[in-house]
Amino acid sequence: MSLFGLIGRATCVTLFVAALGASQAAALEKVTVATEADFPPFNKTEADGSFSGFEIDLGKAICQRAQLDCTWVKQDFSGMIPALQAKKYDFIFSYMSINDDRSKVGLFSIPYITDQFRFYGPKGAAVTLPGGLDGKNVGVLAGSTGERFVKEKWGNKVEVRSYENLDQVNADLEAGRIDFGFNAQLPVSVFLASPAGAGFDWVGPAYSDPILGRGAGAMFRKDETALRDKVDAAIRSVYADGTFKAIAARYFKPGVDVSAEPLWK
Amino acid sequence: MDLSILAFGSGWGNALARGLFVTLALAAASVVLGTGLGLVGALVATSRFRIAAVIVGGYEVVMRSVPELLVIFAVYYGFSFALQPFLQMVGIEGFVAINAFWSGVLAIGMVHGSYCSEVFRGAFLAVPAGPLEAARALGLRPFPVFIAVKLPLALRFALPGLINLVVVTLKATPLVAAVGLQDLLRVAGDAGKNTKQYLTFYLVALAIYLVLAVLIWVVESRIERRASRFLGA
Repeated sequence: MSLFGLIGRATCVTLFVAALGASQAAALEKVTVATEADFPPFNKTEADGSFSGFEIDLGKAICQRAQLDCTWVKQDFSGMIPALQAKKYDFIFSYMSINDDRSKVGLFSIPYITDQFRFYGPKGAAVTLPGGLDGKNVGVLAGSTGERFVKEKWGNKVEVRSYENLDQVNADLEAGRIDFGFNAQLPVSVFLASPAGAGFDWVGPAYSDPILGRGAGAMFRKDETALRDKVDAAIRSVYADGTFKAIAARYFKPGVDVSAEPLWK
Repeated sequence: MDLSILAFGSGWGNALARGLFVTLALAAASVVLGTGLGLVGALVATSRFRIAAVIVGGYEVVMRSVPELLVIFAVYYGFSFALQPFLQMVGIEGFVAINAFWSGVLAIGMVHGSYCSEVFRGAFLAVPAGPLEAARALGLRPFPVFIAVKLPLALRFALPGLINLVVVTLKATPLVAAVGLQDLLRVAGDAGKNTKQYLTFYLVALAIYLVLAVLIWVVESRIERRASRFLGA
């Protein structure tokens, strides 16, 4: 097959799919949504290729409310915003914390969840922050707000190691290659509650900071105001009728408050 | 070790099989595209058209020099935007998306092609002058000489190199996971993340890649034996 034949075929298929999408637009608007599918309890991949987790359940409820026919696709977190801009999907629903830098390149919904960030490390590591981290290795997620925060606040006093996913941070923590991890509390609490996390605990206080973001929201391209407004209304709706609380109760322990309502009410 | 996580149906067997299919499809399409590009590239490079030869040579140097991952990113993130002006010229408005699979085929195929071109070029140069002169003496025109004499002889010289490149390209396919393709290695990683049994799944993936490579080499030695049975050497 020649190169042009190949491009031609790919083009035909794409145009056909686009035409198909347009013909159904009258019923439900077809959109594609990105998830990392690798960040439990928010999102993960199952053996049958499907996605599960808090965000998937919440996202489906929001799609239904907003009259959207959502197709979920998987995308690595670090490449998520470039792929949004390259129109690989219509919006991101994958624990994207809302901050100023990201707001410059995209459009955010109101936050649908909020979580604080915290250091964690070996049990009994008597560390007083912020000075106690000097000269230590800290594992963070590449391209995350946590990475920005540690780099900005501790600069070259700590060695920041950036990883593709949280399992790699935790594996290196267990192996002793890094001294601490820094991440959103809810995913880390899954690790701390597991057998592998038995020897580890929180270190220091939980952080809220403009760099860390004002909760996580759905992220759109700059010009997608109409779609954003639909999703905003749907988020308010799932909060208002208790759907949000019911879904949260399936994933988080009683007393863990993830409601983002105070941020926009 | 509990092997039920590898089972088909309830375990990750089906997912791994799907991943294997994606890997094979990606490798096969890239090899077909790349071998075609390589052949064309070699013909241009050994042709009388000096300027075209220089351009193709330059393109191939670039393709062989930059990391494959970079080519994949460039195609996945940039191809649609690069294509837009050309589509507008022929009157197609709107945005033509290229998905992860075809981005991978295009990127890996282009890199594969640049290496293939070198193999073909060497093979064409290795064809002895005698049979070509004999064919011309029989009054064959340049195209039949190429199709009936030069290409079949060159293919025999090119075969080992081409098959080696197939294995290299098979091993390059996991790079396309960086733009979201669920290939074999990526599925093994997902299974590891979900079950925390990383080692089990990576060993399974390792075994599958090993079997594939051995199969390719077995096929290569068969074809080579068959192709050279008239050569007497």
